[in-house]
Amino acid sequence: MEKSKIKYKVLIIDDEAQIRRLLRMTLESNEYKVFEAATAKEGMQAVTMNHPDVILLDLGLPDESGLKLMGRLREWSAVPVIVLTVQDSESVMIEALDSGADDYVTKPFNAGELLARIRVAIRHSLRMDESPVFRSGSLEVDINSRVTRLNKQEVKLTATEYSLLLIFIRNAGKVLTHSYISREIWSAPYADNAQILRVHIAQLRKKIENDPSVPELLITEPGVGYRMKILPLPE
Amino acid sequence: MSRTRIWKYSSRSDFSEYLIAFLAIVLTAGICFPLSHFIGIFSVGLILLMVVAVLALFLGRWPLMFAAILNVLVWDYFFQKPLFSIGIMQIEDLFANIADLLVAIVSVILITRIRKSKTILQNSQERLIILNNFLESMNNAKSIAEAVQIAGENLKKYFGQEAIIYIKDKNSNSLFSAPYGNSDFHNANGIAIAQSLFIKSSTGRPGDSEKSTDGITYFPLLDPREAIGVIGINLETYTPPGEDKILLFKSFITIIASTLGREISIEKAMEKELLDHSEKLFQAVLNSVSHELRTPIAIISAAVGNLNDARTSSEPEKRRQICVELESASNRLNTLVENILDMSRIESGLLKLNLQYCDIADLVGLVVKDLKGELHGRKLNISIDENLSLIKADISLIRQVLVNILRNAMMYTPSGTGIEITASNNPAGMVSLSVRDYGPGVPDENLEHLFEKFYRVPGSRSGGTGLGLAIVRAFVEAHKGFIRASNEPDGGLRITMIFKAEK
Repeated sequence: MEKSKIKYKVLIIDDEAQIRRLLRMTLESNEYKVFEAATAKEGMQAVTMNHPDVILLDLGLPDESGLKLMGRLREWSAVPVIVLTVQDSESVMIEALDSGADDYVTKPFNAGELLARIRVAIRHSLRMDESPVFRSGSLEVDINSRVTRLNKQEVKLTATEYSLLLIFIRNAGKVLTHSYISREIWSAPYADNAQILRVHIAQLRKKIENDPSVPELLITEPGVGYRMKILPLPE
Repeated sequence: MSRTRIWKYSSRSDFSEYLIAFLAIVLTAGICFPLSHFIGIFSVGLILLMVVAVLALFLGRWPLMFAAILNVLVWDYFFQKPLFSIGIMQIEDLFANIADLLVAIVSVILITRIRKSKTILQNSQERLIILNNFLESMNNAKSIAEAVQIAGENLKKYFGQEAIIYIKDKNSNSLFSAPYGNSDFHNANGIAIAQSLFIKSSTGRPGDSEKSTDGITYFPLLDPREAIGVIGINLETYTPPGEDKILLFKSFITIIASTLGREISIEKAMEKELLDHSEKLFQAVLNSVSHELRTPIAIISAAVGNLNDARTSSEPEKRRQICVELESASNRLNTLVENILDMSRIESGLLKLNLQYCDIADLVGLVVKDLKGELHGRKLNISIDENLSLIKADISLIRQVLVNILRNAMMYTPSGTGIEITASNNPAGMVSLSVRDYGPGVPDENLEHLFEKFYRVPGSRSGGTGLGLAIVRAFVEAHKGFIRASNEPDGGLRITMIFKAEK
């Protein structure tokens, strides 16, 4: 929880009144200011009127699909959007992420997980973690000197591995789709690089994970992509 | 259907033509005999030659040859000296006879040649017309079966018999064992030949044709892209089995093959479309059911999350609110499960009615009590005829019907609006029961789909599986009742049910 006096504003766009009420309860007890909208139209109005810091968007809205709403929103706003949906088909998730969503959470969701995602989204949008040293669990990356350490031991990364790691660090906590990573590294569609990407991820895990077979940092989002987790520092 | 004769250029050489030639020459000779003193024997020779020329207009080649020779013999025998004998006295008579014979034969040959080419022309024109007609009628075929039927009719018309047609099985690369057309030709030997011919053709080595021991010739049906089947016909039973007939038959085969090829592709495309459609429907059903199942679960899980959080659960008011949410989510799950069970009961045909006399007024009272907690300020206006007839019904099912209709009305109308329940006797010995709301109604073009399973009015709010009203219709129809939906002129939807009254 952010121990600051600023109350971040969260806009919930979901047509289920019960979900809105319960989310409001959760968020308010975590010091967020909550706005609600039940339709895409109301949602759009609420974005312009209330300037939320993060939007929780349900994809199945009665008047317009959430994906369409996001498309229109992204034409003029970069406010972080977390997609909240019961549809867990990967293709829908990828479509949502590729059309500008920052993250997604499938219902039923865990309140702790949702709050963590909201924190990541806000931190990213406010560029709060542009520190030259990235730390998560026992991994430490000094971006200025390009030195990576695991358990205080320096590890040697190839150029591709390092640029891959850098992409994950810049988007720490966010899910990155296969095609996004592929475009960033090779400027080429994922289909051409699916196998290569898997190999590089495996290589990187061997070097930055304590147990590469049970990754804790670089975790797989099945069918969608990968996510760099922000873990607490070891005692 | 009479068989159209198309093979007429073959020479007719029956006995009657020889007789005609003979009689014409002999009669002419008989008439000329008394006159030969006045007109001279050379005039008689010319007259006989003229008769041969006239005969050439309508007799066949060999009777004409016969006439030409007879003409010379008759002239020699009856008119040249010595009379009544074959023989010549003067050398000029010999020349005259040879000239006569040559002229007669040459003119016969020329005339028959002209006639033959005319017949060939006529025949090819006729063949063109036949092929054109055949092509046109095959073009009208709208299915494989129809194409085969039209092909059969035309083969019968022009070749005197139906053919047997084996078509490729859609799913395997072999012939479908049930043939179309003439089943008299269907036997093990034929199938074996057809199969081997088909395999040869579909592996890129198109065999021309193969003949079975019972005289049936099998031809492969080749579409430009692939072999699509085999056609068999008995070519031997027609005389003459000329080259032209085979040629015409092959043109027929080409037309049959391309028509069948077209129909097979169309059928495949339609099947694929159907499959795509049912896949889409299945996906829609899955989405709708999974959405409906997961939403209450998400609510329950979020509520439990809040209960677990000391900051929210420490406030009694919040705890109470969470319990309300939990209760409504579990009711929602319960309704959904009931609907799914009802639907599967209907679909499996296990729906059995426990019919009892039922007073609709009592039933409405029960249902209103059931739904009291869900009204959210909506006012129910109930108007029931005082002397309303009883109906015979399964009370639990009709109760479910009314609950579903009312829940549906509440779901799609704003809270605070009214809902009317009306029941009255109908002059035709029926009881009508209707529920009317003051919501937005349903676009007229969607009304007819309202009771379809998994149907959702486009653009309507989420929630609901699309099962509720489908169950309503199934239950009402199980009671031999009628149900329909209509929009009220001043807004709102009315659902009317009609049941048989029991006096």
